[in-house]
Amino acid sequence: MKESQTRSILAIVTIDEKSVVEGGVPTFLASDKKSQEKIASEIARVLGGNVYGLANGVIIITQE
Amino acid sequence: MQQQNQILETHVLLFILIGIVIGFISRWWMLRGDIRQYPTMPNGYLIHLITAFIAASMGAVAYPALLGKNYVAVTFLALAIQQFRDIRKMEKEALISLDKDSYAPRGPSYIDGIAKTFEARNYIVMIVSLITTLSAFILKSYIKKTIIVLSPAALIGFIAAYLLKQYTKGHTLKDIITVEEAPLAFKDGDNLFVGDIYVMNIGLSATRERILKNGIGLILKPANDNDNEKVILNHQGQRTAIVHECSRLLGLERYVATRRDFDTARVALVIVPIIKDVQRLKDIILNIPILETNKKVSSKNN
Repeated sequence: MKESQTRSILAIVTIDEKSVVEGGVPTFLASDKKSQEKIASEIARVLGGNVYGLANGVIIITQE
Repeated sequence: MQQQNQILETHVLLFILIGIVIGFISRWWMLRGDIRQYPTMPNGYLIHLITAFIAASMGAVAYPALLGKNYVAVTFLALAIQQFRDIRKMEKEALISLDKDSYAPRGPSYIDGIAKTFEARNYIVMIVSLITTLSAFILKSYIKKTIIVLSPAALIGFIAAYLLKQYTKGHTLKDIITVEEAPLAFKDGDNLFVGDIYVMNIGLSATRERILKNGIGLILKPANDNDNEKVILNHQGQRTAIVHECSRLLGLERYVATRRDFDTARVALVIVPIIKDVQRLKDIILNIPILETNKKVSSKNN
């Protein structure tokens, strides 16, 4: 039943400031695609979260 | 009368013994029929063989006890059933507590099925022993020689065991689905597809590469395209069982996930196993039992 539970976003990592509107979630700005993934992976590892990529290039980290 | 009951006659003793032995052997045979490595070796085996021995003894003694006008002995059967229900409870508790430890849990539906099977098999043993002893006594009234009576009685016992096993044998997924390997691909950036079914979103490129390199994608399709099969395959417990068996038998390097295609009722499975053997994975899936709770649903629909 894991799939049907709602989970919340823990953090957002983006390279484009414009694609994220301030929404109460910690948001990290990365310089390029590579560092974006690195930051996302670090955050996910620390928080034990899952990493998902959105179509607009933003990466979100959610609860497991 | 009292004197006669004190010492068992040789043939009665032999008949009871043959009942116990046949029941015991049939349980052993049923234990070996399981490829999914449950119960665990060697202690799980021992526990079930011992309880089978007790069940066999009860079944074998029931008829001679009646013959000896010892009606009280039959009430022990009631006690026995209580015992075997405890076995079911014990298995259930053990499996549920183990579930917390595993990455892909068995799920309550699967556990319930396993526990029920253990209980049922003890009853089978009891019935087999009863039938064996009973047929030995019946045959005895036609054939005078005790030794000759034993082998047909044993045969009848084995046939009963075989029939009961056939009756309680559940169906496996082999009967209702076909499994095909399908290519894994990432579309629209981060969305993982098995064939044409979306499964999940992977955000990191390192993970994406790992899945493409080591992952296996399968599509489970209802074989005859009828609604019952779709209902069974759609059941969450059934899918949990599939995921559990795959990851337990092949090991899990990273991910396992299933996803349904709502239009065609196909189910996509992605797994990154330690043992990368597609053929074996297919065999495992095809041999997964259809859960008993599921079967009730399907028979209602029929």
